[in-house]
Amino acid sequence: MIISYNWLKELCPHDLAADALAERLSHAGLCVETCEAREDDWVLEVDVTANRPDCLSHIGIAREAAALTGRRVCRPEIKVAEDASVRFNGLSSVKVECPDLCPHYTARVILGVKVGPSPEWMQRRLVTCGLRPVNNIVDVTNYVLLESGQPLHTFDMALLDERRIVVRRAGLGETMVTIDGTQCRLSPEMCVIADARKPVAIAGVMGGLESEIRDATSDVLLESARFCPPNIRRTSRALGLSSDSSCRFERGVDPENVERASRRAAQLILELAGGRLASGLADVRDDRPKAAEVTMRFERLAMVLGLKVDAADVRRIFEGLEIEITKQTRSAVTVVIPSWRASDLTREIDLIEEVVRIHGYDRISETTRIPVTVAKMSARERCMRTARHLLAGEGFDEVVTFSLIAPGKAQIAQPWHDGGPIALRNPFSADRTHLRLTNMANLLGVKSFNASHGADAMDMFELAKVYVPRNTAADEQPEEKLCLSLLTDREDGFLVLKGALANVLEALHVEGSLSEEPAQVGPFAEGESLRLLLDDRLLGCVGIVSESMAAELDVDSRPALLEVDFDLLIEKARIDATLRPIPKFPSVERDIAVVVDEAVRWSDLRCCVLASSVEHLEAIEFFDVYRGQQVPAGKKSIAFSLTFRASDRTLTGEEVDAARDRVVAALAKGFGATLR
Amino acid sequence: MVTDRTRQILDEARRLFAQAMTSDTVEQLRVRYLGRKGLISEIFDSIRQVPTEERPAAGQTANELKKALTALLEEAQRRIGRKEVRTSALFDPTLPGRRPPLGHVHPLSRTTEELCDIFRTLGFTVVEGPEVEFDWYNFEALNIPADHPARDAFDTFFITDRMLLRSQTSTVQIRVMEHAQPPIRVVAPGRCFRPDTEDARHMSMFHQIEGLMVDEGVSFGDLKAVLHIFARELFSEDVRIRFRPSFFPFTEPSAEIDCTCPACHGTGCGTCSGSGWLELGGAGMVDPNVFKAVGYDAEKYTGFAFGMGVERVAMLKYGIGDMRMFSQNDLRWLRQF
Repeated sequence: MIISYNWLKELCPHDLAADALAERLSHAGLCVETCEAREDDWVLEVDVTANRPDCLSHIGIAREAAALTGRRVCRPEIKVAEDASVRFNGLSSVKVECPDLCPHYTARVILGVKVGPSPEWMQRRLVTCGLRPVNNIVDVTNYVLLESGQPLHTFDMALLDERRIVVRRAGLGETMVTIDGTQCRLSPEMCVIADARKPVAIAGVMGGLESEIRDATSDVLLESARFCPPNIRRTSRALGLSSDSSCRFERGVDPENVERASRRAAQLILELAGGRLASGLADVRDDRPKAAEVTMRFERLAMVLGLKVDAADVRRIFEGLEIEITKQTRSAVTVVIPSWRASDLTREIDLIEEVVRIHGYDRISETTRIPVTVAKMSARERCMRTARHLLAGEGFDEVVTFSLIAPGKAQIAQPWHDGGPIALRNPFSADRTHLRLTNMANLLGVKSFNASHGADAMDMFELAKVYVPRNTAADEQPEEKLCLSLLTDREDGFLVLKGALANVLEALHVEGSLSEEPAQVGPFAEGESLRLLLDDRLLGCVGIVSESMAAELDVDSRPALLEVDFDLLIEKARIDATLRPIPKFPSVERDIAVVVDEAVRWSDLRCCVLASSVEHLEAIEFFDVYRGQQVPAGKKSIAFSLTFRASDRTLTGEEVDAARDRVVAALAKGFGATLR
Repeated sequence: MVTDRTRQILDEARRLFAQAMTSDTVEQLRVRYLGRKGLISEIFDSIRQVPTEERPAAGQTANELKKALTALLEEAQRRIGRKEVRTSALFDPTLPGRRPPLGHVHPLSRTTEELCDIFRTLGFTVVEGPEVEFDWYNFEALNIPADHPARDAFDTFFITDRMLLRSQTSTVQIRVMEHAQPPIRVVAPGRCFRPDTEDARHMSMFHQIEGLMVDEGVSFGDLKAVLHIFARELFSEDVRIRFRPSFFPFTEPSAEIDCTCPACHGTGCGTCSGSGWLELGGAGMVDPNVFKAVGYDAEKYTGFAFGMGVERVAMLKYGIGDMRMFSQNDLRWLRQF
């Protein structure tokens, strides 16, 4: 809310300069965002929090200033002269058909006003506070709104059918044009101010164009009312209309100020526009909220804050805030909650907050001792850190991309889910409408972005969630699967990623056997992708992006991608290795190179060797594939090493040679492999 | 005779090997003494001319000579080898070291790890909660009723009537408290979403870290102590923090936390617009209505909660001016961390 320093000072005669006042208010909970000099005044922009509707006015902020500076609020005197010869009841009437939406409605009539510009002093104040002067009648309602926070509305009585008011729900299909020219479609959930025939205002939100005050207006109906806050908020949101009035009604206005503000406005209208105020008013009230009493214990205050506050200080604070004390004992104080704080101060804890914010948070000392307790790092956190730092050490850069993506992008790869992604009801941009089912699409996006910014070699990873739907329609939360996803555009990228994954598995001491099967998943080229399994459970996939997909995604080169279920790895990780005894006896190695047909795959050879159950075979490790001069066309030479070790003795050369020969024989039998 | 000859050869060899300065010289000496046509070979041949009964002795002497010469050779080789490594003109020790490329951990991960580590030393256990949440956890349980203007500050993305993307990590407070009894001491880092207009300080996707401590006798003084220790660990020993009264539906009393600007240590500079202070996050005592929602005895227990933006902390720590950098993933930027 924008307020005028001069106006405020009139209401609370403190002796602080504008920025000093701004600082004091800010440190007590009313954040003053800016304080700028303007002509002979200062303009303060106050950020009023949702719990302090009482501060949406100059009198409200004056109360705060008074409490902080030890002064009193000087409210303007309201003296109105009614004309006994004209009675409200003879001129108009008010019927409230929906008291649940409008618990209090008042109306007064002023006859024979002269509409014109409002005086310079009022216009200046309105402009300072960011409002546009219109005419003396409308300006008075805005002035009173800024002054005491009560929104008011005025109608040209000549334009009210039968010159009377009905407060009711809108009918189905009813429409109305508001003063800002919008045609509004109304519904029965909305409260309207109507005349005998039609709606003339959307209650608490905005007045109608047809009945607004114009230059020729002579008789004015002045409305001051209170509406149901959640209803005003719903109506305002449904119509996409908000105003200085609606934002105050949403938060709740002071029930005791409704009629008073009406009198104040009448006083100003008579002063500025002349006319005669009919005696009496319509005052339809459904509820009469009783002032609540709340008790605050001194011990509780001390315990919650960690600070003892003197009873005398507490007293002074409440009195400064115009919170009346009805009872005080050694242990507690009981107060009556003023009407303007009724929604905010309802419990002991609310009073404790009032005391400490005025007293000062800086008076609370930091406790010197906090009880010791143990907090261990979870296995999950340890696995994530280990993987992250390991991959960084291997040259991969970590990226963080958006959870929300465009649907087309979501369908590039779906390693975890066959159906569609979860959609947002209210996305705010067309390219972030669905929750991603994979990180791989985003990695490709990061690659494209960096390629167009001159980056050459890219190795990157993301360790983040994908959102696999369960039964969304039945409000079942999706599975938020933590995935580790890698991308590289190196020549031998596919093998680089497989190697990186193997290193991660080793660093986490993952238990279980890793297996792979050829699979055509998403963006990968045929024959250039694998499905990965850990103990027959789906672990993930790896592959090289196909030519067509690379072209479609406008990605130069064909990067390799890998994505695994990191939650599964965490489940299977042992983090701390179980030590095995160091072998007592040395191993013996034999290198073998065999020539086989091109179509033969390493995994087949390996399986064959392991299946041959050669004794004492400790390890088999691939180290080279060769095509060239010494190898016939259509064939290749695969070289690998065999490591033999016995646990109880050193193997002899003859034993090892015999074992090697058995392996070679098995390969010859299975694949027609010949030694090179 | 063999003996005399042997001693002569050994003396000479000792002298010559000691004088040898290059591996070429050493090689020449090896050939001379131990080569196929070298002196040792000659001596072994000459044993044939010695009378039969003297041959064993002669043979032994020859062997001993051979051993001694071999030892001299190896020693000389070692000596020369070491020297030549040092003085070879082909080796340039000023060349830069061989470096396999280094990857980089994202600053958000770094910051989250650091925040978790600091709070762990204060006894806070790290927990997580779902990003796709229910309205009840995001609003009602946190004392934000339906149709209340307090919801304006927490605009959300909706999926169904009841499911949404959480707009703050405070949801995890409820998740923790509904399944456990006090004492509670947790921090919950995580991703949040809001349909905010994006600019240098606002993004629709961002990360927060939430803290919660509930027990008998927990006070605002404890909150101050924990946050001050945290700020000192994160920035520097001389950092100060201050609390300004504010409003959050789930805390009462509520406060905004400021810390002295790490760039100027509170004296005022461009980073803090001259004020010397920067916003760090929000905090307060847990509102009794929140305890009611999770079934805690609000008379017996008190607690405090705090929340900070991880991007915000990273921006303060690393001097980053624009929040959008975190999700842009420009490798030229990421590789600086």
